[in-house]
Amino acid sequence: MSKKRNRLEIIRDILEVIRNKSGKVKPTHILYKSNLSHQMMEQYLLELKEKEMIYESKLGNGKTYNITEKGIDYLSKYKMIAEFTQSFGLEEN
Amino acid sequence: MNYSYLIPNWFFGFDIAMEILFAVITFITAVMAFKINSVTKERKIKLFGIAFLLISLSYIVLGGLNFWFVNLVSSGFRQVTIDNVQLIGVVSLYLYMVLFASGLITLAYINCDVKKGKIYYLLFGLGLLVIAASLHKLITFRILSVFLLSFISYHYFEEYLKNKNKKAFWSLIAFSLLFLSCVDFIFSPFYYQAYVIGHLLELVAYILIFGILIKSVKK
Repeated sequence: MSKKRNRLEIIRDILEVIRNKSGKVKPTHILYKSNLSHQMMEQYLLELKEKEMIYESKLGNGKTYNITEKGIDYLSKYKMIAEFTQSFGLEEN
Repeated sequence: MNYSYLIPNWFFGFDIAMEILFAVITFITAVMAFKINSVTKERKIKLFGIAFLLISLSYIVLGGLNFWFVNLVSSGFRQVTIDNVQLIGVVSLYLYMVLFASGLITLAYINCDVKKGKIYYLLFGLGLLVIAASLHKLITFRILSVFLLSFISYHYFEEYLKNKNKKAFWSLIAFSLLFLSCVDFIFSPFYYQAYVIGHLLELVAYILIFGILIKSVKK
């Protein structure tokens, strides 16, 4: 059985899904790829918007999510962030 | 405050150099935490940075106090009165204790895994009041530090056992050494060796913390 992902890993996975789709993706695709419940995904997306790692755009009746420079910065520094937080036991529950 | 350290003559200067080194390492740790926080905006990382910044400031005050005192002794107290010496010494020592204890309280709060500002306020208030209300402030400060560091070390022990997180192992060793150094410092008024051993234990602990940082940056 695979290990339960922590918060930082989930954020990385969501950002990677958006980046891999040329930085523009529908919520259903994020839900499918990130392996989260709808409620959890909405919470994470809200948090990522507040942290300015992603932004929302209108597309007809729906919406898409786009990655920002901050989101790309997070992905490029992810290994360092993970090493630091794991070494000092700073992972949020 | 009837409490003093016994310091061997040959160790004068080494202690100040070590305290400045501890200040630099803890400052770098704080800067690194703030840098990571600027990307992640995670509460624990920000508090960790604040804790290490407080500890860094405490070492700057302590190193500065020791440096000032050594200079004063070597210059033969020409320019200041004994009252002034006592006042500056006591204020600096209080400032050191408040900063160091605040740093440890912040680290202990992070490890409590709660997001209540009220709990932080309570820990902070209780910790500082215990020192302020004590007749033997430095001994009380050392005992409080031992208690907080035992709590922090236990957190890393749990972290290591729970997740088999080998990365937390070195933090466990570093904070355990800081715990031992604080236990050791309690005996420094009675044995001059205690002051030297305490500093050496701290030195190894902060070198380990610096090693963890270097490893993170290389990723």
